[in-house]
Amino acid sequence: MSLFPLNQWYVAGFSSELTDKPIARTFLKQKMVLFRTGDGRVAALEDRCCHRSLPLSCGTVEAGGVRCGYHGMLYAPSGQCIEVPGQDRVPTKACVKAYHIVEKNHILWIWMPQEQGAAPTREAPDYPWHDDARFKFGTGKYHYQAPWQLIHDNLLDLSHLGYVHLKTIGGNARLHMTADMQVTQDGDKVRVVRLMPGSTPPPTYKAAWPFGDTCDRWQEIEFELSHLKIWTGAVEPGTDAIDDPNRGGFHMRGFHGITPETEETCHYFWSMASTRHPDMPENIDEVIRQTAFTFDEDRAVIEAQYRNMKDFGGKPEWVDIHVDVGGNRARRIVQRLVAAA
Amino acid sequence: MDELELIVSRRREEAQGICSFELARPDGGELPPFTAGAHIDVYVQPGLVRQYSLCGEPGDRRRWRIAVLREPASRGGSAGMHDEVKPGTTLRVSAPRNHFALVPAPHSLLLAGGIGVTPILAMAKTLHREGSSFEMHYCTRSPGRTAFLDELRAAAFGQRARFHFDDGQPAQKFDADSVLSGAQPGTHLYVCGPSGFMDHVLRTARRLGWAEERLHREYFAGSVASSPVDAGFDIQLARSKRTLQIPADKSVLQVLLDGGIDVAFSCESGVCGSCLTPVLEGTPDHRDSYLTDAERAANDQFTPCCSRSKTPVLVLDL
Repeated sequence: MSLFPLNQWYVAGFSSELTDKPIARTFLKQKMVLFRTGDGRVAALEDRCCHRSLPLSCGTVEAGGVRCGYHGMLYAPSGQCIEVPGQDRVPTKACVKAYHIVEKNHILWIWMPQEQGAAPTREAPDYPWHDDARFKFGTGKYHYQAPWQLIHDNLLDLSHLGYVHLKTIGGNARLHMTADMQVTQDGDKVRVVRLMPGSTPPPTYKAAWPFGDTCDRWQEIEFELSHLKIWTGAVEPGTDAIDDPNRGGFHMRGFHGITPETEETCHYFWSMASTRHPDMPENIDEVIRQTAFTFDEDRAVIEAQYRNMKDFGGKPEWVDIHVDVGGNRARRIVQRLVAAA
Repeated sequence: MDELELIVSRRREEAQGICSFELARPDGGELPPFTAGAHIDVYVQPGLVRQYSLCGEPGDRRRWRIAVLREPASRGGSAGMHDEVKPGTTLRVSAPRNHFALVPAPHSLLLAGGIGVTPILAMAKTLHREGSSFEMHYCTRSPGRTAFLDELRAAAFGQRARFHFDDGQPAQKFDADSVLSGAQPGTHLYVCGPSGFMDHVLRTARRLGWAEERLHREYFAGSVASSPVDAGFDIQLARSKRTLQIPADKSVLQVLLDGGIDVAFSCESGVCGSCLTPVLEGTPDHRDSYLTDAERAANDQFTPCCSRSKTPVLVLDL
C-alpha cells in the first residue's frame, strides 16, 4: 500500500517559478524535473535520463523540451526522447516517465496516479482569487523538515495564534483559546469556522485597515487533500454581519498547498491574497512580509516538534484536546484516501 | 456555499400534523438536479436551519417538494415551517446533497416510518421510472397520520406499496423478520423514519445475516421520542453480562473504569476516538466531535467518555 494518497492532485509550485530553467522536485518520493517549453506549456518528467541516469534537472531547457546535461539527449513533454546528438536514429525505447501537470490560477498542479502515466480522473482544483480584481496576492514556499500532516494539524487549529503568533496575527490569547469553533465535514472536506466578535485587532490587520480598539473577526478554514484555504479578516463593529457572505471589511485569503516529499519532509507552497481600505496606501508587500513572518513562527514550532518526536522515538501517545477536532477529521480522511487508491 | 432563494408555490396539509411545500425559482427557471434520497438545508429563520428530504419527482426541474411533520417538542424548526411558511413565502435553501442514494440492485426494499417516507417516496418514483424491481413498506400510526396515502394508492406503482398502521388489524402490522428474511439475494434495503423503527429494522437485518453494504439508512434529527436530557440510564455489557447504572453526573467511561472494566481512553472529551465502543442496542446521544455525521447516524458505536443515551438502556459490546 502507498504511503500517500494516490489518484490525487497536489500542488507542485507556482507558475512564477518556471521560467527558463528546469526545477528538480520530489513529490511522494518520486523525483521529477519541472520545466516550461517554448510555447509556454509546463511539463513534468521523471528526473532521470534513460541513457546513464543523470538527473535531467542538471540539463537545460529549450523550446522543444529539456536537454540532458551529459550527452545532450532532448526530451519532449511527453517523455519521449526526440533527439540524440550525433545519430539519426532515436531508439523508441529512449523514453522517460511523464506526469500530468497543469497550470491554473498561477498554481502548478501535479496529478499523482496509482498507475504510472494514468490521466487525471477529474479537473485540477480552481482558485480564482488569484485572478480576482478585489485582491492582490503574493506567494512563498518552504521546504519543511517535518511530515506533511503536522502542517495540517497546525493549519486546522487556530487556537495557537495567541501563543505562537502574538507579534503578528495573535491578538488576545484567551479569546483565541475560548472562541467557539464549529467543525463540519462534507465528504473529504473539513470546515472549521470561528467567529470572534469584539476582538482586539492584531498588528497585521491594523496595517491594512483603520480599525479602532475592537473588530468583529472571523476565521474560516477549509481542508481538502489538495490544498487548504484559510480565510480570515474582520469588519468594524456595527457595520456588516460577521457571517454575511458579502461583508466588507478587511479580507485575507490564504492558500496552502502541502505536498509530501518523503515520510519526513514536505513542500509547503502558500499564497496570501488581501483587500485593503481604499484610503489606506498599497499594502500587499507588508501583508506578505507579515504573513511570511507568521509562517516562519509556525515552522520553528513544527520542526522543533518533529525533532523532539524523533529524539524521543517510538510512537507517542498524544493526548488530544479541543483544538484537535478538525485535525483528527483530516487525518481520518487522509487514511481513507490512502486506502482507497 | 451554494444557496438559492426559492418561493413557496404551494402548501398542502397532507395528513394530521404533516404539510408539504412546493418550492420553485421566482423566475420559473430550472432548479439544480438531484437524485432520490437527497435533502436540502432550509433556513427557516436566521440562525435556524433544518434538513428536509426532497420527496418530489427527481426528474422535475421546475419544482421541489418537501414535507414537514410538526414535532410536539419542536425547537422552532417544524413549528416555524408550519406556522410561518405559506404560498408566496421566500425561503433560502441550500443546493441538494445526497447521503442516501440508490445503488443498482436486482431488487430494492424501501422501508418508511412516518415522515421518513419523504426520501423513500422519491426513491419509489425513480425505481418505477427505471423499471427496476422494488417493494415499499410504509409504517405509520394511523391512516389519518399517513402523508401521501391517496397519492401512493393511486400511483402507477401503487401495488408495490404496502401500508402498515399501528392502530390497524394485527395481520397487517409490519413484521420485519418476515419481510427481510423473504428478500431475494442481492436485495438492497433503504430505511428512513424514527430512530427506534430504524434501529429495529437494521438489527433485524444484521441478525438475519444481511451484509452491511446492502443496508442504507438516513436518520432525521429530532425524530426521537425521548429528549436528550442528562438523565440517568443503564448500560448492559453483552459479553460480561453485567448491568451498570449511569447516574446523571457520571460519564459512562467513569462508571466502566470504576467497575474495573478495561477501556482504552485518552482525551476524555470526544475528540480522539480512543474509547470508541460498539453499541448493540439502544440509541446513543452523541456528544463527541470525532465521528462523522454518517457514523453518528448509524448509532452502532459511541464514545463513552462524553456521550450518553437517548434510550433507557444501551447495550454495549463489552
